[in-house]
Amino acid sequence: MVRRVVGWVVLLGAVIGVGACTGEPSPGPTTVTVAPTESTAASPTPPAKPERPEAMERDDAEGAAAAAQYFIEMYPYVMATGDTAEFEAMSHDACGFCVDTLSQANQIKNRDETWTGGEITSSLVESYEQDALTGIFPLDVDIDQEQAVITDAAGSVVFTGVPERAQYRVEIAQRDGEWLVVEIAPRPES
Amino acid sequence: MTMTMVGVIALTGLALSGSDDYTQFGGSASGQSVTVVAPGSPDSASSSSGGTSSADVPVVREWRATPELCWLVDLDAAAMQLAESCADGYRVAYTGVECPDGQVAVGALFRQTHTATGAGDGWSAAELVEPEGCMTEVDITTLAAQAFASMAIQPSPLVVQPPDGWTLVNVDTITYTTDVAQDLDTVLLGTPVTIRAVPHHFTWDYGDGAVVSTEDPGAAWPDHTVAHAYAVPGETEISLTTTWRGQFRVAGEAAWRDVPGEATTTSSSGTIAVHEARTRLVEDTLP
Repeated sequence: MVRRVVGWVVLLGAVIGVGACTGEPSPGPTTVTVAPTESTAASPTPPAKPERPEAMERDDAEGAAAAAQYFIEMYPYVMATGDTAEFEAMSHDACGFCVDTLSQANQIKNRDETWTGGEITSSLVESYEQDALTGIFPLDVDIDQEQAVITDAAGSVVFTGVPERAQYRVEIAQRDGEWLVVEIAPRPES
Repeated sequence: MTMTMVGVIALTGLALSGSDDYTQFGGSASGQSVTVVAPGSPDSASSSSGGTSSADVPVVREWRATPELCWLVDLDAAAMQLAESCADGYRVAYTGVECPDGQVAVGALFRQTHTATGAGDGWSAAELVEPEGCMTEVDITTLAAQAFASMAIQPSPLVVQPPDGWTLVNVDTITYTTDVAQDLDTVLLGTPVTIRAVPHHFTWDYGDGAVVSTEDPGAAWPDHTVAHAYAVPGETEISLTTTWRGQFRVAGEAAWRDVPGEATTTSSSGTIAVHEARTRLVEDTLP
């Protein structure tokens, strides 16, 4: 709950930041032309966008699980490319995880930094009955993520992650027939 | 005034945007909390045990409307009653309270009752039971601990296989119980609270000096995991001591919180005769 509030503050800060930048002459294009020449040598091809599973067309628990895994496995692609459109379209307003992820992906892109690695594999552990009050399908998903590294435009490393393996509770539901992630959080202890 | 606030927020945003804040997947997912209790998970209330027969339908359902939960009314399968409790008429009940240090905010509590003859799906209109408010976490935990300490807990069932009060030497005598939690509904500080006793540890005393201490409730043959083979014939009695831990949950909230302390219960098998069986060759076909 508290985390969500922080998420909103960050988002608000980001929005204000963008507003402030539009007033200045944009140095963007210059940086963009420089960055690729420096980073192409060091960075491998960015992770491919995962294929949208057909099962996502279903409106039941199976569709929920397919959509959740698709969303999760899109994470490294979003970080590496800054192509947030589909990830954002699948994020519910209430999703603090989504806000944080989008904010980081945009920051990496805006600063002309490069995300490498961090590939994710996910497996469905358990899928629960649909919540009667909200229509949410709760799922437990195991996630393995390889080490990710973020480098700046000059090639210096600004972030080094570690391989992660953890279990998460994913809350996902449909709005207007499309799957939306409501939250991703550590699996609650029983 | 507004300008100052914007300044502070923008600064906060900048402070959080340093590269040190970069994370992998787990970092973004570490501080969130889930909204709903997964039905069928150990966390879920006993009333949501499932089943399709009408006898299994809970008589009362309660939930807490918070601004966060009301964000979800746009979902396709969000229930009418959620929309009802999030409608303008009720909004005043949970605009989001700010609580002093040491207190936690709880959302407005709504309740519906189910009748077999009710209109539509049988659920009554959503009724506001209690507006949102602040709760002193320490006080309620202390009270929950007292309620747990005085809670009457049914001893764990004790099942022995073979089941008829006798067993044989040198073969496994199987024992098992269940790990089903027990709930007690009560009211603390004017708020409905469920106290739950969760079996945590089982100690089996087989009466011949053998003691097995485990967190495993065991299972029936052939999936048994807790068993003992008697060495000598005679009479014995098996007893089971269960250690229970306490949890409590404020009505309508998703999370269970721990209560300090433990409780124990003891169950007994009654007298069991341990026989010795000898093998014998027979000439005739067995019936």
